[in-house]
Amino acid sequence: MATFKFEEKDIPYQVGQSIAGALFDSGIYGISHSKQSKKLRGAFCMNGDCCGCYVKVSDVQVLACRTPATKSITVKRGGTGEI
Amino acid sequence: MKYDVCIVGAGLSGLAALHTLSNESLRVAIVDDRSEIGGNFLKRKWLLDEPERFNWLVEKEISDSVDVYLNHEAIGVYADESLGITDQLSLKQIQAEVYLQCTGLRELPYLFDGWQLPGVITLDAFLQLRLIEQVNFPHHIGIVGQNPLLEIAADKLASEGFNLIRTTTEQSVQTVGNKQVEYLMLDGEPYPVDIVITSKGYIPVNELAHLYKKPDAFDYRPQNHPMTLSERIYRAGQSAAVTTPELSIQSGQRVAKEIISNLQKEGV
Ligand code: FES
Repeated sequence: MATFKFEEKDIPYQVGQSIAGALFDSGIYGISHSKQSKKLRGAFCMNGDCCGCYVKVSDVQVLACRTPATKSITVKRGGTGEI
Repeated sequence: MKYDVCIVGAGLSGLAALHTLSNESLRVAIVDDRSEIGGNFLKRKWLLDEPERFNWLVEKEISDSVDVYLNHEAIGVYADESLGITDQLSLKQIQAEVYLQCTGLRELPYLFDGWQLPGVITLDAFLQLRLIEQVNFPHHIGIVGQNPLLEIAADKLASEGFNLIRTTTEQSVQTVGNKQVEYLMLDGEPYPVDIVITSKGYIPVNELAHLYKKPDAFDYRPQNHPMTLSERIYRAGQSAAVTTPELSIQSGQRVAKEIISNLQKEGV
């Protein structure tokens, strides 16, 4: 199975899964963190509305629910403002 | 790019309108921000009794004369009232005689203490993960909120053998956990959960009509009322607060007919 890296860990994914979906499938929910409270945040709406799922792909902030998982990308926790 | 009609949203009502319009010799474009047609129906069909009834619309071939812009989001309106759409790489300008908003319903999450914890997701998020992304779910699932569709989802999950913690509106609800949700607290009692699904209901997505400064654009009503083309923006489907897939489709067809007759009056 193809994988990508999230915080140094290999995450398998299926074609058609978003980064957030693949991480959820692996049981990893805390994929982002709030800049204010410093607490972990995760995908909430899977629709691009809540902004709880910001991650960094090669240092660029993207919404994990709107970004397809692709081979060998390097993903790190991103930061989001508090809602 | 110039069109007679630009439909925004390729869900049931948008597709119904599209097929009615494409029987005429009109130049039609349809825009959707997803990579495939079908809109919210693709995930919410899990909650319908006989979703197959609606498949024909999603499977029906789209005529070659229609321009389909998938992966394109409508982001703004230019001074000349043309619509700006983007696939994040480029920006296109769509000029049309009329715009038809078929943007459906957006979910309202039910917010309670601790909803921000990772592992708490909305019903739509659950449906997206499960139906579209084929994600496997852990065993213990908390259910919080008053959306009647949430009840249907919970019944289905229970029948599949998931262990559900259901809540009522009278209970005080809170989730706690260190890095992600671990317990659902009901009236102070802790129940272990792996994830929580929350939902309050839906509201129509009406941004496009607002962009065109026509928040009360013409939409499907059982009792038709006359309107003029000068409105230029129409709505159909659940963005017009229609409640069932059947009505969504009917409203798409009905509004499309209205558009055709108004375009003919204007001699387009
Ligand atoms: S999960 Fe809400 S924006 Fe990505």
